[in-house]
Amino acid sequence: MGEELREASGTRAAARTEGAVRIVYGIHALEAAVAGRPVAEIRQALAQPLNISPRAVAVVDGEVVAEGHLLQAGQQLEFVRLAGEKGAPRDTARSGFFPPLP
Amino acid sequence: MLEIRVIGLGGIGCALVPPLARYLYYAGTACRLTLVDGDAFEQRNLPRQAFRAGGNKARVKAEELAQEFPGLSVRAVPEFVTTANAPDLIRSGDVVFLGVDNHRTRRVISDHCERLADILLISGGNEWTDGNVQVYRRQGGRDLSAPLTRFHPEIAAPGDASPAEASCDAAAAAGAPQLLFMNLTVASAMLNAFYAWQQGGLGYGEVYLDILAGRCQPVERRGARG
Repeated sequence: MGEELREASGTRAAARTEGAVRIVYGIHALEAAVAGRPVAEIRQALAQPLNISPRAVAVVDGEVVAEGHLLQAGQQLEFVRLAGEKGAPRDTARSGFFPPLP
Repeated sequence: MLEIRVIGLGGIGCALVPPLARYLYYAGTACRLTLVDGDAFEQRNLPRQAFRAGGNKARVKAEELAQEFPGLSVRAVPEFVTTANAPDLIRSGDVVFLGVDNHRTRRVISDHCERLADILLISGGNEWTDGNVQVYRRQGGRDLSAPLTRFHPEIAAPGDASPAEASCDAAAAAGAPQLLFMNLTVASAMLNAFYAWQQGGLGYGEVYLDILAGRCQPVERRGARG
């Protein structure tokens, strides 16, 4: 799968090569020849490299789809990144980051 | 007269309000700016939030803006937003900047906005070095973009507490700090969305931001289902 992915430009026109699907997660936008494959397969392949949350909803061309949805060429698949909430992860050591106030 | 509500005056809200007020004041925009927050400024807020005095955040910032921009209509509502007071605080035709740190309040406000005919809701949030801004627009009773809950299950079914139970600062004190620069980035993106809307060129429903990568990614969010 990795060799089939390449960074796409910011426009959807980039996904119009043969069999290509544009895949978006947060700031990441990739183009991949994955037409005919289910969403679940793409999620599994990209979960680690893009750090996709298991809770991220899959959206194809603006509509929420099931994990078994088969992708078609020219479509855009987005895994919707969770809304920002609380700053740094609680298990991230940040103690001492802020300098003492004068 | 344009009614602009800023809900949440923490790291994002404090970064957003001064340039917003300056822009509105010098543009001569006929508007009223309402600041809404039930929390109070404390010494521990200083690393990310600028304020001249302690006290309720909405009142303190409203007083600051009134002094700096005489003639600009600014009022303070020293309350957290709940299902009970949302109808009084947010009305059809309003522009709402939402800078809270909890999904429960986002859910309350998004649900309320879904019942209004016309609304522009711009909601921002961040983690440590990345963040996002959602834009929910309704016009004439129709969604022009998606409400916050449609693609965000964490907002549709919030598992966190209301701000009355645990504030942003309480979270920070518990070990979840935020980065000032990320607050600034999100606030700027929210203002950019507002300006794009004013100019009739707002074409996205969500934008993602990452300051380490130096990138932003706008995404369309269609309003109509099916």
